[in-house]
Parts: sequence; C-alpha cells; structure tokens
Amino acid sequence: MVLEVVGLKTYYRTLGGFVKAVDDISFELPEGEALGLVGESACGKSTAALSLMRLLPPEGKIIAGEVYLQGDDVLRKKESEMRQIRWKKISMIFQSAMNALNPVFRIEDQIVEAILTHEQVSKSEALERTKKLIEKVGMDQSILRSYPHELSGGMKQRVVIAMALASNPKIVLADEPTTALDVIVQAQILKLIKDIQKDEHLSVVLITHDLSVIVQMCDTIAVMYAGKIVERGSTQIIIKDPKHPYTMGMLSSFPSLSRSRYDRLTFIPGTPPNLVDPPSGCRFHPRCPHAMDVCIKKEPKNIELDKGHPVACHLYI
Amino acid sequence: MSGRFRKFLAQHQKSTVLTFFIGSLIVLTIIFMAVLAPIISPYDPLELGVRAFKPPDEKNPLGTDTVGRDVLSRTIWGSRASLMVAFISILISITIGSLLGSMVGYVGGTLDRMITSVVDALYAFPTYIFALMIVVILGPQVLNIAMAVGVSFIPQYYRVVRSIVLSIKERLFIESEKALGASSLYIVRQHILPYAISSIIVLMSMGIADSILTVAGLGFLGIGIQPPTPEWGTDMRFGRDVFLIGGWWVSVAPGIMIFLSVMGFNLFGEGLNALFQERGGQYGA
Amino acid sequence: MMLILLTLIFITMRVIPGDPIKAMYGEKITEEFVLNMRKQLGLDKPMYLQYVDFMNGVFTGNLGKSFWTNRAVLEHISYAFPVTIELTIAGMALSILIGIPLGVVSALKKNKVPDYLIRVFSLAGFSMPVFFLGQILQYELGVQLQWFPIQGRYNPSLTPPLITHFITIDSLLTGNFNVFLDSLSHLLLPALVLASWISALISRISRANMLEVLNEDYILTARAKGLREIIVISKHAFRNAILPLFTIAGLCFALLLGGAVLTESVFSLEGMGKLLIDAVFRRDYPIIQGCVVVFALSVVVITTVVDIVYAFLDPRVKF
Repeated sequence: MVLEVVGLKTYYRTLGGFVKAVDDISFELPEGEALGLVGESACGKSTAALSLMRLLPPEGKIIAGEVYLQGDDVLRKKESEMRQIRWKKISMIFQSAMNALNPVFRIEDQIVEAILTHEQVSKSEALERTKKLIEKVGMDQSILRSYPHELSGGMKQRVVIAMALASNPKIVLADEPTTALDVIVQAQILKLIKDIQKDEHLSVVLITHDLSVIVQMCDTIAVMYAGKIVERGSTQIIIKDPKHPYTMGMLSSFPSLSRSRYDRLTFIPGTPPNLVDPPSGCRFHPRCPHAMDVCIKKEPKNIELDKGHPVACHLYI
Repeated sequence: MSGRFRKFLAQHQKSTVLTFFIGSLIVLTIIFMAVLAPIISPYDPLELGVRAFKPPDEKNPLGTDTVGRDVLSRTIWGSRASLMVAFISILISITIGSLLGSMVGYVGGTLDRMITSVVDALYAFPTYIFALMIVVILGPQVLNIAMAVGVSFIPQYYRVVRSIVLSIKERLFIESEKALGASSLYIVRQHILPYAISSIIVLMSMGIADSILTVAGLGFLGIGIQPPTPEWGTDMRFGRDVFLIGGWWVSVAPGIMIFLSVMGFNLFGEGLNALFQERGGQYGA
Repeated sequence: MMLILLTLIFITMRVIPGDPIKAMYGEKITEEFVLNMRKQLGLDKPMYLQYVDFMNGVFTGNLGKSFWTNRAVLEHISYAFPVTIELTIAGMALSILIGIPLGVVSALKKNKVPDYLIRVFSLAGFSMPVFFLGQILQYELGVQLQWFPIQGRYNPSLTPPLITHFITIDSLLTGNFNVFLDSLSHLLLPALVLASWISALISRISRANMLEVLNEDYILTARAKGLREIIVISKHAFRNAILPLFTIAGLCFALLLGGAVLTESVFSLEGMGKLLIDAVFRRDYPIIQGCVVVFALSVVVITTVVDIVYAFLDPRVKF
C-alpha cells in the first residue's frame, strides 16, 4: 500500500460551530492504482485531500487519525519535514487550474521552481526536464515563456499536470481536474492522466462528483457522504451492484447512453446535510428510502460484504 | 428581545460590534453636543473676557484664548459649525450625485460617457484644492463652504449610484429574469436596493468625516468659517501663534475634537460596512 | 481629460462676483482707472477670447502675470513647485515604507492583536487633522527635544545652489552634502505628518489585497510545492498584492497635494500651498489660476506615468 488512511477526522472552526467536514474516514491505495473519491459538493472530499498534504487553512484542524505514506505517518511529522514530502512524494492538481498558476510568473519559472525546491540540480538541467515534461503532456515548448493568462483552460490544466509531475511524486491527488473544462478537452485531459499514470506507474486519488469520470479512470471507488465513507470497493463491482442506498441513488440519477430512454431519471430527495450539526445515527437517514428506526439512533459500522468491499449501512448488519 | 440581540452578536465578529458600538457612541455624543450646546456650554463662546490667555483652571476648565473667550464653550459650540456644514454638504453631494448618477445610468450612451469623463476629471482633482477654489471665489460664508465641500464629494456618490442603476438595467435585460415577468422588478428591489442603501449610508458617514476634516482645514488656513463664529479649525488658526511658546490649550481642545469626531464617524462607517458584509451574501457590500 | 479640467478651472475662475480690480485697489478708484486696469490685464475682452488666451497660455507656458508682483506667474511657480514636489515625494515614499509593511503584517496576522492594533492606528492616522499632528510634532520633536528643525526648507545660513530649484537634487549635483542633509532634515517632519495620513490608506488597501491574494489557489499551490512560508509570501503573494496599489497612486497623489497645502502652512515651507494661500488673500487671480492649473496638470501627469509603469510591471496588461 502506497497510501493508507485510518480514521481521519478534520474539522473546521467557524463562527457558527465546528464543521465536521471529514469525520472518521479510512481507505487505502495500492501502488500504481487509481482511487476515485466521489460524492456531492461539500461532502468533504477536497478537505480530505488537503488533509493528506496538511495544507488546511488556519480554521481547519486534523483532529484524529493516521495517514501512512509509504509506511510513514505524515500526521506526526514536523512542518519542515512535511515541506520535503510535499510535491516530492505526493503532489496535487487543484480544481480550476486557471488559478493554480501565479499570474506574474512565466510557465517555465513555475515548473522549474517545483524541481529546484526538492533537488540540487542546475537551473539548465531543471529547464531541460521542464521541456520534457511539457512535451509529455502534449504541448509545444514554445509556451514555456508565456504567462498563464495567455493560455487556454485546457492548456493551463496540462501545465498544472506537468508541474505536478515535476518532482516525480509517487502519489498524485487530482481534485476535480476537469470540471471547468468543456467535454472534448475533458476527454483529452483524462486520457492524458490515464496514460501518464500507466507510464509512470503512478498512484492517483481522483476526486470528483462526476461518476462517468470515475468509471473511466479508477480501479477502486470510495463513496463519501457527509464526511463519511459509506461504501468502498472495486469500480466494477460497485457500479454493477451498489450496496449502499446512497450509492444506488447516485448511480441511478446518472443519465446513461445505454439505458432505455423510457427509464426515468431518479434523484435523491432532500438537501445535503448540515455538517455542523449532522443528522443523528446514520447521516443519510433523512433521505434514505430504506431508513429504519435503528438508522436514526445508531451510526452504522463498516461491514465487509466481500473482500475489500466495506459498506456502512444497517441493512447489512 | 434579548434573543434577537444574542443572535445579532453571534452573527458578527466581536471586533465589528465593538467598532460599530464605539463609533455610534462618539457620533451620538457629538450630535448631542451640537444640539445641546447652548445648555451645556458654561460661557457664551463669543463673550470676550478680561482673563485672556489663561491656562486651564477652575473657572475655565480648558483655559481661555488670546481674547479671553472660554475655550471649552467655543469647543462645544464648534461642533455645531462642523456638523451643520457636514450635513448640508453631504445632502448636496448625495442629491446631485444620485440624481446625476441614476439619470446617466438610465440613459446611457454618449451622455453617460460625457458626464462620466467630466466627473472622473473632478475626481482626480485634489478635493481640497477644489473646495478651496470655490470658497475663494464665492467668499467664506457657511453656505458657500458647505456647497464647496458638497460639490467636491459628488463624484463618489455619482459613481455608486450609477453602477447600481447600471446593474439594475443589466438584470432587467437578462432573459431568464424577464421570463419571470413582473417579479424580476421585485427581485431587483429585494437584492439591489438594500445593497444600494447600505453603500450609501456607509459613504455618508465617511463623507461626513471627510467634510469635517476639510472644513477644519479651510478654517485653519483662514478661508473657512470666519471668526467670531466658533469653529474648530478656525480656532486652531489663532491657537497656532501661541502653540509653540507653550500655549497648548487653545489648539489642543479643538484639535482633539476634530480627531475624535472624524474618528467616530469613520468607525461608525467602518463598523456599519463590516456589519453589512458579515450578513453574508444578503446585502454583500 | 486635461481639457475638461482646464475648462472647468477657467469657468470657475470667471464666475467671479465682485471685481478683482476693486478688490486689489479698494473702492476709491475712478472708473477710468478701472477700465484702464481691465484693459491692461486683458479682462475687457469677450469671454471666448479670454478662454482662447487662457488655453493658449497654458500650452505655451504663459500663465500670465501676478497682479501683485507683476512678475510671471510661471516664475513664482518655478520656485514654489519644486518644494511641494519634494514634500509630496518624500511623503509618498514614507507612506509606502510605512503603509505596505503594516498592511502586509496586518493581513498575515488577520484578526489577531497586531491586526487590530494596526487597523486602529491606521484609522487614527487618517482621522487626525494634518495641521494638528504637524503642530504637535513640531512642538515635541522640534522645540522640546530639538531633534528636527521646525520650519523652512533649509537653514538660512546655508545657501543652497540653484539649478533645478530642487534643493535635494541641486545639492547632490554640486556635491554639497551639508546642504543635502540639511534639506532632508527639514523635510522629515512635514513628510512624516503627511505620511501618517496617507499610509493609513495604503495599509488598508495593502491588507485587503494581501488577504485576497492569500486566498488564491496559486498560493495553495506554492505551499503544496513545499516552499517555505517566507518564500510563498514574499515571492508569490507580495507581487500580486502590490500591483493593484498602483491604481490608487493617482488618488494618493491628489490627497497628498491637498495635505501639502496645509503642511506647508504649518511648517512655513515656501511651496505651492503657501503661494496659493497668499494669492487667495490678495485676490491675486492669475496666481490662483496658475497654481490650480499646475496642480491639475501634475495629478494628470503622475496618473499617466503610474499607468505606464503599471503596464510594465503587470504581464497581464498590454499597452
């Protein structure tokens, strides 16, 4: 396992109380595989990613848990040690790459900076590697001297990917890498990521709310709801046979080209829960068609239905 | 009642509430001072006295100026001049600025470009110098000073109102809102009007602060409100000659009053602004 | 824009109730004398001709002659303007030196004690009347402690060289360091007073900009790359936060000029402010007009220069 998360809890302190964005999640990522973290907006996915790299804003605190990066618990590390780990072992591609690039610096400077921070190489060598990286993401070297505002959205996203690979990390976290792009560019970027993942034998955590992306790219899925992981397992099994009511609801609310056109799209009624004061017991119970009495009172524990396929639902306990 | 107040406190940062509170306190004090001047002032501010240039003692808590007038009384009465000019000038700025801004925003086109460029030119001009010019030409009477200060502050209100009217126009033209029919006007009123009002109120208090400062400055230079009318800046002009030889009390009282009142109005405006912002999206300023 | 300004100035100056001649020479003069003077001063020509003369004058550098001294307005201004400019630049420099660091620190320690202190101080600095603070500093630092001179532009016993009329530049050009240091010491208090006023504005805007920048994704990216916090702030955040300040440079300059008028009065500096005020009391209209024109011109020039510099610095802006 290149990444193992155990019992992670991250809360935000706000004027209105503590927002329990990530409330006890656990998952693992084998080397060279892609894990998809999927859920509605504001369910805690991005917070989880930021927690892994310990890049939370001042209001955010990791309350509990362990995060083992290649066997090392990063939550126990000092900030100075973290800085060496960041980007070298694990890097991140942010949502809307438009803003991930500093507008006053040239592209090449920003990528070279990523290299030079972690390795003692000469500037010209870093520049050479940057050129190769740019080519690997399918762009021409000429854009290196440009400024970010001169590039299109898709190009910027490629730059961000190139930058994320600059220090040859083992793990890449991709937070909604294609949400802001149009469909065609989206497909290109996804293919690019997939190819690179295969070539470099990278481990990827892909965060998205778009199931179609997950299906294309990921070997395993972890479904998040209200700060908790409700179901986890291999993509194929979960897609064919989802066990958690939330997963089922999500899958059936997705339009599919292969479905009969007479199939109605369903949706999950209700609104996303308040993370300051989440529902008691199972957090999904207000919106769950199968809710029982015990769901309101007790929080469901994870049950492994098949090997490596835990589900947190009272239906199976 | 206390429940609502508690909710109010919970919604906002302590610093904001404190700022607003202190600001309002000062503003109210000054207004009371101005209104109640004849009652609370120990002496007649214009009365020349025999005890000239005396430092603070029991008879004159803040001392007397070079012609024997009581500094405390003059300082209290001085608030009237400052506030009166401030209010009149703000009135002028807002009325003309808003009228012009809304008209121009509504009509648009070349009229918009023409007037906006003139207003921009005015805005770039040091307001101080402009007010100075007008007072020079028309003479240092209260009304003229108020007018001068008022006119020099027009650009700010003009801009705000114009941008509001423009945004209203824009929203009225958005197809989706049109599809909702008459309700679009209602929505606009619900969202834009509160924002407009809050912006203007905040601008107003900052404007009052600014005008108090400007009027005092003009007074200090000798082209403001003329003696014997008590005005903080003008009083400081006469205090200036004796300041460096140790006659501090003539200048310090009016000086501190200017400082406090400007600070008070600024705090009030700042606090108000923060309050509106922290309402979170409802009135976002 | 300049044209509009100039026209505005012309119009305001001509809307004079009351006769400048009578104001200067009193009421007891003959009609003939008045007519004569008017002719001499060109006040008898029809309005549009006066306007043409005026505009012509501005562009050719002829701003008329002072009613009082009968010397060219331009000459008066050439002595007074450099003083004001030196003061303004010194004030601006100090404001930036004080304001930006305060604003940045305030942003970094948001909502903690330093932030509150700085913000309160800023507001206080902005609310304090320039002439009051000036007098206090004059008294405390000048008279009591004798650290700085309290008035004038230079020590009368030293005669500064006169090339560009900028004492600081002239003294440097002639290698006269005594005079140079002396002129700086005379500038310090007035510039400090001005700075206390403007730095409040600058620190407030720096703070707002810095906060906005710190929220941007590229700052998060910089941290994610493993850069030290100091580098993140000084290299990535700082440049982006400072750039927007240029947009208010023009406004600051305008405010500084206004403040300079007052400060010159307090510190008895022979600048444009003093020139203007004296002219006001003497009803010396050409000087008043000339001063105002020069003020307006300088604001426009500075704003344009700043715009150009900004275009240089921000890669997003094209000429």
